[in-house]
Amino acid sequence: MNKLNYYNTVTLQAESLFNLVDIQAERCFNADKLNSIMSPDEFAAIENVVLTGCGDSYSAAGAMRSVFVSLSGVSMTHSPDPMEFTRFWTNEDIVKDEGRKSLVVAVSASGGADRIVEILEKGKAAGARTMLISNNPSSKGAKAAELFFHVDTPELCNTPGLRSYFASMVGIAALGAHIGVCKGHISLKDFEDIKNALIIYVKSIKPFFAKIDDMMFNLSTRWKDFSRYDVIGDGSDYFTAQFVEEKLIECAGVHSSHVDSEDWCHINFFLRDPGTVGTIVHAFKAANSFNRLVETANTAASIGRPIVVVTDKPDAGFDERITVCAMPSPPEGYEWLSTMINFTPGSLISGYVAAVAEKKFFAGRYDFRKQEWNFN
Amino acid sequence: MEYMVKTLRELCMNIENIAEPQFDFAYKTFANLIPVECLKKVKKIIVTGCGDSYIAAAEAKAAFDKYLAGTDCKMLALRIVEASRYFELGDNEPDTMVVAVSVSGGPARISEVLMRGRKHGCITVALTNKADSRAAMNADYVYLTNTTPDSPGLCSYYASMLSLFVMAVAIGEAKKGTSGEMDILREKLLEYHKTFFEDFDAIDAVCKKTAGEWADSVGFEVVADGPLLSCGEFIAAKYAEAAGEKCTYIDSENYMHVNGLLCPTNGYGTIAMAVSDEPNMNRIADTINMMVSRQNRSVMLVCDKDPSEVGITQPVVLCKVRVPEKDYRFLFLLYSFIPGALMAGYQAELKNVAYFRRTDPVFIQSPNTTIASSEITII
Repeated sequence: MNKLNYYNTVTLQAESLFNLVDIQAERCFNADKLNSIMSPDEFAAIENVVLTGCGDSYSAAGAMRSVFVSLSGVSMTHSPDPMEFTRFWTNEDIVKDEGRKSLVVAVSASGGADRIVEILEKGKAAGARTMLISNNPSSKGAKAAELFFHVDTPELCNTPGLRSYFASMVGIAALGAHIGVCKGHISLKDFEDIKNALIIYVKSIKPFFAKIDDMMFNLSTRWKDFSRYDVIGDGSDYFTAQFVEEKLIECAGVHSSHVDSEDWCHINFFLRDPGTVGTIVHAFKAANSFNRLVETANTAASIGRPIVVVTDKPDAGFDERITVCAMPSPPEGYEWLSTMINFTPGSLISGYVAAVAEKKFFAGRYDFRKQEWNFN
Repeated sequence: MEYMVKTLRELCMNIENIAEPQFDFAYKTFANLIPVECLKKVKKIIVTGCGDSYIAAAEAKAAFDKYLAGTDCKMLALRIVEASRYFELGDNEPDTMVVAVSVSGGPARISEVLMRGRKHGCITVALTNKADSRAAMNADYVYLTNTTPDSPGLCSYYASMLSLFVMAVAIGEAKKGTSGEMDILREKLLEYHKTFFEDFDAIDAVCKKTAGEWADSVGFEVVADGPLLSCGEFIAAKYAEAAGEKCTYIDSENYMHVNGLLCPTNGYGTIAMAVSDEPNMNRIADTINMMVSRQNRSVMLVCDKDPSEVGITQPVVLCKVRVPEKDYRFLFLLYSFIPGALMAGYQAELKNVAYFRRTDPVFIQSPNTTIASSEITII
């Protein structure tokens, strides 16, 4: 099969990230821009934060929560799902002490979802500051928010949203780092170093991209008829797994779920016909649970699960039946950066599985070849 | 079927007999377990477990929130990998209590989280059914549940959750210096327990019929919000364990963004769970209307009111349940999983498969031994 015949908008976006990263980092890790949103003193006063969104944006919030904590120094940072936050959180859950020390951040590339507006209105009603991280300054979310952080992602196809997911994560990291600077938790040099490390690391993937893309395409030709997928990740990568799950559903309409390495062994292990459940594991060596991720991958292989492990340590003792997708390690001290880019192999599988099976994306509504929607 | 020692229906019915003894046992056990002075100083309670046990912890959060309100103490329910490897603990946290829930007490990760808690100076508690388990050996306190083991775990899940409810009351009262809540909870529990089981046969009949209609579904899904989302996770686990079927769970907002795109759009038997006076009702009603009208999904609604009374205009199957009064709504979580568990059990019967793939040669040849043998790393 000729891979070029199955080129799709996931591949397009994945390969665009190597150019996007410079621009996105500059537009988000921009101290002047961040200072124009709110004064450094006001940022420094923030003591608890809610990060949430819908769909991919919720995944971005979850994936960046612990990064945000470590960069900002705001340990009370939570990422509830949108319904949990809007309908079940109380004002006391949102605002600790004085409201002006609490920040509710809604993440949404379009800024247009009703729930995003509701998140912001709920935060405001509780007395918190509210911020929208978005690519759309004229959206209703932007109007509902007290503060607006424009990630300002350059125009290009964003269906399904890989570039927006990446931009949201960069935006959240930049916001966290800026709060960290304002609080004196990190230095301005650290802020710049993080930006540079992000650019260098993402670009370091580029020489490997063609090989990764080939590998994911070849895998997809074997996995195209699978209707069930498990995506595994721990820590921040639990949300990477959620994002990949979302791409599998959006592109191929396949029944997918995300799970951590321990609970997979207790629950998803028992799915029948294991030879037909595509399994994607995210296992980077800096993960605190790396040894468990390796054990879980090997357990999945032992029952015949078709499995790919996305890792920076291919020689970790993975079962020989496992397809190992090797990626470079992030630089020392910036291990969290793997989460900024390790969603690409699983996303590529999503696009190719759909393309090879001659499916259109979004339940048949999006023609990735023509980049056209059809709602009829 | 010979290999199904007990069906999920039978396991559900067993719950009818355990509420009162389980509550009384938990009360008596916890009352004599940890000195009140020790409970008074606790400011953070981390409750965790593997699989179902984590879900029991997540579902107990509402009870902890109620009984710890107004105190300086918060409860966190964490997935076991998060608790054992990622959640940040200081060098010495004597005001933090780590509670590891495990009926068997055998998983490596359970011992690991207890050992981690001890390393960081926390108070450690094993909530387990086995006094001589590895978890028990690694905990400062062993809070026994005293349940008959069942598989898939329903009574054990119920017992874990109920024991955590009792714990929440006891710690709340210790911190506030009050008393009397335990007796009220017992009364409310037994009252609702009776109510729920009065309806059990009707619930079971709806589930059995619906499961039959869903026999050929591509997969299954539970849509729920807030505390009931964890119940959805438990039901999904029962589908995997009992029937080997994939069942996903998702909140009503993210369904609209993502899972509504599953194909074929009408291929997924969907259990939607809602309570009429909860603040998410209008959103979940919109979501259900959309999934039926646009995706032609077959939906079984587990709810306390008729669909027409809660804004659902599309045809759904109603599995009607009564719910406890709002102040004790968390008690519903002890029972809300039962319709979904019945569905999972019937699916296994329809597919004629043994629970936990016990007759499948692939699983017989490659049992998952890593749950017990997994390498322990103390972070």
